[in-house]
Amino acid sequence: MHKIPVRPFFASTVLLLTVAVSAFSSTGLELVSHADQVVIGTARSLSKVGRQAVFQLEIERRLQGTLRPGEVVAVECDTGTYIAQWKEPSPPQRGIWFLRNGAVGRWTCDAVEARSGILSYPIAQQPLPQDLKYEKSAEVLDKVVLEAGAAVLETVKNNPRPTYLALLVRNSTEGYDSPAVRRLFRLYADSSRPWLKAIGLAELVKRGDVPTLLRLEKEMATLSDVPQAKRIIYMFDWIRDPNPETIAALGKLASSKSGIEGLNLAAARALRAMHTRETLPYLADLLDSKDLNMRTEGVLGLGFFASGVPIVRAEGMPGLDFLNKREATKYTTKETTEYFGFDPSRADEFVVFWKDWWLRHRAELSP
Amino acid sequence: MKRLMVRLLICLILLLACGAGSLLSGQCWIDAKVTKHTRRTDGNHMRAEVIAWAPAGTLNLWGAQAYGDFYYEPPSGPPLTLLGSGYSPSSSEYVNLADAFPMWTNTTTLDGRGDGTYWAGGWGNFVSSCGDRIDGLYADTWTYDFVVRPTVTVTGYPQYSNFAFWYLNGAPSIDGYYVQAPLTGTPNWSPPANQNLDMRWEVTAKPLKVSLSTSTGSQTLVTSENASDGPVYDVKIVFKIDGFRSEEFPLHINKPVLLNRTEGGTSYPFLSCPDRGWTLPMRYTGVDFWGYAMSKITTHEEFSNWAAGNTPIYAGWPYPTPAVWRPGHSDEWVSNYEFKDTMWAYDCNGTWNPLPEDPVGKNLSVRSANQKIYMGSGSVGKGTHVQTTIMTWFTDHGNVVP
Repeated sequence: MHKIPVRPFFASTVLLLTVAVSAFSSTGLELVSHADQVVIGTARSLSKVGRQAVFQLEIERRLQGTLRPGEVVAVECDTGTYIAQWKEPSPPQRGIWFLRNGAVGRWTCDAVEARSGILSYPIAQQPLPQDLKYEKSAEVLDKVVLEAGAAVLETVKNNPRPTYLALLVRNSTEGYDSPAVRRLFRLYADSSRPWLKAIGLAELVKRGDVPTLLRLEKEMATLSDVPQAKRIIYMFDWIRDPNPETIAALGKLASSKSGIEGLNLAAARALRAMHTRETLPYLADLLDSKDLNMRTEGVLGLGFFASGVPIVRAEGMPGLDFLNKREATKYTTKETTEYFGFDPSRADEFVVFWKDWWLRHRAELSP
Repeated sequence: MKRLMVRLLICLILLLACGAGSLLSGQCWIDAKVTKHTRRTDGNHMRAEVIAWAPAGTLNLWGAQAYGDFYYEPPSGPPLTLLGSGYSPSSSEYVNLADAFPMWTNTTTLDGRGDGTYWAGGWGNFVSSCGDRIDGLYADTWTYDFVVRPTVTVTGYPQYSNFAFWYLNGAPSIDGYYVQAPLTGTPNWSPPANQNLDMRWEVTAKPLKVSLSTSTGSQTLVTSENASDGPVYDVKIVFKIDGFRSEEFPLHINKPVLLNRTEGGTSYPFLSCPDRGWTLPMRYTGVDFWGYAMSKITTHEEFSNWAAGNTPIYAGWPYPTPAVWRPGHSDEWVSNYEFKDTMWAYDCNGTWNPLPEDPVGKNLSVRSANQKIYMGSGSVGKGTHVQTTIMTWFTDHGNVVP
């Protein structure tokens, strides 16, 4: 890893100042899939030898694997850095650990964010609240997320200050969605802490959660001064499930009069990315907007539909699949091809063309 | 007009002779049509043909007549020039048709008209003897047809008539983001053996936005030299054989336009020793010409204009190492759309000047620098510049503007 210069350990170099340093972390999915054992336990006698954190782990419960409660095993973790990341001597650390078979008599752990010195996910002191309880047969990652989420909620209960813990647990759900994950983020979104509410809302929007989209205007109106709330708008880039309920919710937000910065455009852009038949009335409405950016979304969206553009997805961006894998439809004509895209120097001409196109096709294309 | 009147007259005669319902009359049905096309016969000639078709092996005696016209349309559009016209055989002749029967041909020299369009049109009448009756069919295919032209395709995308690729400020293709497009020109006709064809490529619109590996031969590699002027297909290329040209092949050249900071703005106590450090987690998403979030692509940062802060006692803090964010590293590109940038400072065991335990800003700055982020390359000075910020390290938090 090139971002932190690897240097011999010398005791005095313990202050680190850097940007863009890799956290040497993994997603929850990666951690679970690579682990032979996922356990809740307490690390004792934690110390650092070179880049390795070494400790004794006392098993309390297991979420995956064969280790038994009460067992004590030797563990080492690669932290990716020689710099000390915690106060020494380290107090016992209780958390959720991800272990792999290592050398004889020793387990190797995959740290959650090694270079931040975060080796495990946190665990609540109290038993899981009713809202976060899970069945024994639940997915391992669901168990991890709910256990760690409970620790976040427990922490913020008595501490109003934003904590990185909430982001750490959120990061564990990267690339993963399940009812359990949404359950946790709904609790975040219902929190009385505005910063935590914003994190929860952002994750639910990212997953295209329709109830959240329907209440978003009202919720965001209370978050105008919260830095974490800015992320919510960007999460519309992830919404690509063109079910009618989602389309309707996005259509409502695209025409919102709330004045929340970026909300209309983000919803319009998600509609344009999907451009199914159900989106067309909403996209056509955008052609009458006073905002050129919104009119542009309408022009592009109708053009995408007529030209058979596939739904715009992340994995297709390098190859520009949405442009290069178009399949002509019965609406593809020489004219729709000529007015595909948006030429800013001929903005009015493009808008007029697509307004006329919609007038000619509205009857057959309206749901 | 004259031709139209002739057609109508023949039609009338046939209808009178056979009756309006005789086109499909019992066992004496008639299945006939006229097709037409134009094609190159050698390097310099075009031939128009009108062909009559009837089922092979029919026991009936068939008769047919066909008209044909051959036009040239210049690149500027109408008016058209009539190159030849005629019909064959005469209406009084009857022939026994096979599957296809060329009725009329006309050949012209391309001479000086290489960039134009050649059209052929035709129509025909068919009659058939059937016992003591004569059935008739009027088959009008009086629509003009494009001549077979050379076509342009992109390797890997043979079915599409346009293409989009990337411009990364001169950096080479990376992570599946291609800055080149391999084009192939196809004549669509079979030239005579041993004929040397003059095959050329020409950029007919926005020529400064691309370069060609070669302007001759059947293949060329197009490299982006600049981006399109927006979400439009504004670069056009044609392929010519002996001066006979393909339709314009449109290209769009996309690029990363800006970065959205999708997370940032809050410094948190450093989790592993909260009273001895802070961390400012940020996430970024690149945005393209079309307003869409770009997925994983190698990206790097460069620092410049380092300046000391207002707290000289902290001048010994180390400097950061510029980062490279690469796809395939989930700790760098943390999702399909986002890479993470972390600003932090910690001193868990207090051997350096300790950080204030109260993270609420005391405005004690340590240093600042300009940070520039480039997408599409991990090398200094390469890739597309998408953002400049001023980063300031304070004793108790970080700040990034804008």
